[in-house]
Amino acid sequence: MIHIPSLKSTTKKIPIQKLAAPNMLYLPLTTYKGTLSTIVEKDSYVKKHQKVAASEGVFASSIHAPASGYIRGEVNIDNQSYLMLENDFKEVAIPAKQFTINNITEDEILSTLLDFGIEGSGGAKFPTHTKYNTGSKPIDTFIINAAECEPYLSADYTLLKNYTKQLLEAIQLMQKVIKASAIVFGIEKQHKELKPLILQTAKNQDIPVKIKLLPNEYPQGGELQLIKSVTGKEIPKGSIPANYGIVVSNVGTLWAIYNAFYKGTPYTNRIVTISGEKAENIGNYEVAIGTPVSYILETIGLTWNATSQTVILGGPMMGKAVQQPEIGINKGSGGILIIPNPTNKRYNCIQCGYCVDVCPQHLMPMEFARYSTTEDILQLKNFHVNDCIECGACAYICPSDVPLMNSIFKGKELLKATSL
Amino acid sequence: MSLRDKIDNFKKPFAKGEKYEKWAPAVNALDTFLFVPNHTTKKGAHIRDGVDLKRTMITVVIALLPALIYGMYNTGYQHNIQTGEATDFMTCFLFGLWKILPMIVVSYGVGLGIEFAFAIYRGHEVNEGYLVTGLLIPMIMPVDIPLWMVAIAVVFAVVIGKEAFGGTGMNILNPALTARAFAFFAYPTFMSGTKVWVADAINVDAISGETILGKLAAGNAAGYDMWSMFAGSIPGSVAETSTLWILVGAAILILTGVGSWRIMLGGVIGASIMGLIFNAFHVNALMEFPWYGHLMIGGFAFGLVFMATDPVSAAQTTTGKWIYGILVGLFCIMIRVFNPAYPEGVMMAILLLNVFAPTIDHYVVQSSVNRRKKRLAAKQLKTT
Repeated sequence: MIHIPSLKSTTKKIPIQKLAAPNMLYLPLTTYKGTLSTIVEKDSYVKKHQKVAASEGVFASSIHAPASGYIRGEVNIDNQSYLMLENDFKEVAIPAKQFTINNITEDEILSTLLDFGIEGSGGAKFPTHTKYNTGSKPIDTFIINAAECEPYLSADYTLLKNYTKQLLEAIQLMQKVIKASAIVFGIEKQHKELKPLILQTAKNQDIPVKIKLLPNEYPQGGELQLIKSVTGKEIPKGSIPANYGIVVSNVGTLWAIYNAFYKGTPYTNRIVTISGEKAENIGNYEVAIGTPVSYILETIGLTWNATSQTVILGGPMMGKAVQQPEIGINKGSGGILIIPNPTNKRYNCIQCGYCVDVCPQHLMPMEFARYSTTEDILQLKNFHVNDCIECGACAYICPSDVPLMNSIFKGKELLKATSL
Repeated sequence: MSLRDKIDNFKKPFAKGEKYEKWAPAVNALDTFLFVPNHTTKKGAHIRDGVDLKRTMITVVIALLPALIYGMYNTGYQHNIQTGEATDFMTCFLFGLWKILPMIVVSYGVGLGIEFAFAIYRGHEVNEGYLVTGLLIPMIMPVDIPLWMVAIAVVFAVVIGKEAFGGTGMNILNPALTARAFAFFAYPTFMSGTKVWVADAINVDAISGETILGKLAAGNAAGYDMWSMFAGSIPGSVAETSTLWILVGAAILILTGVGSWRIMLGGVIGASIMGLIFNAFHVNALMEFPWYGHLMIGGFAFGLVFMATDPVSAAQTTTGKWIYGILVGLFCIMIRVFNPAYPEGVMMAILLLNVFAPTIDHYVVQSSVNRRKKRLAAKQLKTT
């Protein structure tokens, strides 16, 4: 774990603004595992909130049109497929689905989560219906992930502050499915002003919640790290928390759940933090899924310029640098950051061991760098490269700027290609 | 025309495929010295902590300065009390500066020259690693060592000790200690005895000075009180005498997180244990010398703070650092006492442990793997 300056103070005070939908939307078809297949014809007309693409299986998901308009076919940008939707600005919507919250059944909740394309909005985009389908497993802790440990991002914070009541209603609804014995909010100490607000609102709604204040450390919002901080349980990577009696849900996901059941709208909008040293009009914006990065930059008064600045989709630690300005916002992007180009000078590793000190999974990242270079697959396995959660803390701290993340990605690929 | 444009213009013939492509690393080194380089990452952390290797190295250099400045003063002081000249701070300091500055210039000049040559030959960038090594080497030599010996020791240390293994970060032994060990075995008359520790002693019969370790090894009394040993007004290598100012450097290293406090504390514990054991036997002068005195004489403090903590050659794991530090301390005092021919035990101890550091790490990692396996087995036993 590592302390990183949070850089949130400027955006967290600004209320959420709504960004109008653009002329052309690029709906991302890549999901947690696999790709969605388009279920509407090219050049056909779709209404707002109509389902346009879906997939099958355990990790099934779907995506809906955030605006009415014409489907203009699929396009491949930077090795990911997007479905183009031309907005006609007529806002012709399919009628919102009505739910009787008091009599709703478990099955109805789970099927709606799937039908409305709800995915984890923390970044991994894990299908929410799969997560909550805990079956007969007893759940003792329902953790609300409000840690938002990535610097700059404050989308979850503003949601919690402005929609406390709505989020608690969503929690209450999900409790019908998982029936957890305790609800715990995980909040970083820097946001402790939320504690009385949540407790008071929960008391008014008669929901028993607890607040766990977490240290301001990265990656506190990582699922495994959060579970350890809240419950003390250290669960192995790759296992399902529900097997240990735990369900973790992100604030952004709960907001999508609220919109699904109380407004009858699918997951078509999310809150995105726009920030960074080179950004203007920073703040938290409600953005339609599929809005291209270039449109967002123009709206806030910037132009796409790949050489003088770096644009990141997501947080600065785990997000991806945008290579093509057309790529659309996906359900897991919590932020768009416009920062100066990182200045990295690679030196040799001097074995200082800082990466070992900060690794939240207690791994030895410098060994990954060594064995990825020599492609020593057995050693990569021995040092458990697959247990890495890709948080980037080691790359952040490394005084030699060794490209540790690249070594880790390469190491995982090497390991995947063999049967070891 | 801005400086940036001038440099870009100057760099043109050194670009890939151009006439002077081979010399590009040297030009790039100059460029990155003046400007922050500009590469971008696509995946992974896009922001970085402010501390990079360059700043780490500069921190060590700053931590070395108190000991170096005192060393310069002490060089003049040791000379002037023998010749009967004035012993005020400025006179002594300037005398020492005049003696030591040429050593530093030679060390940096020769060392950086080799680094540049290797960078050009191998086509990689010049590393800042030599900034520390280059200052350490003159600080651990006797003041009167001829400059050409310094140069040869530097060549040996950089070529055989470092570049042969692959350059910065790849060396097995601490390069500065490699230089000293080379000089010690190649030119023993200039590195030990009674005439090398005080400036001009070789040329002037009237001057002589022996280190405390030398005196003890010969069976004589130390001849200095504890305060002189702690403050450092005793004969010895250039900058290793003052435990007080070395502790200031140690504080800088520990507070900035650059030096491992575990290694330093482990070394003190190890040396104290060994000193106490010898005190219990007290058969000769070295064994009788109080254990806390052993911590303050010779190069023990300097070696432990600035050489044993060199991350490249030390152990990496937390437990490994403790073991490594304690063993450095134990061996240092043991070599001192058992082998009077090599009174400088700390050099031997650190070089020895440098070789064994990877072994220590290997067993530390293995033991924690085994511990986890055992815990897992116990858990499975409980559930079935």
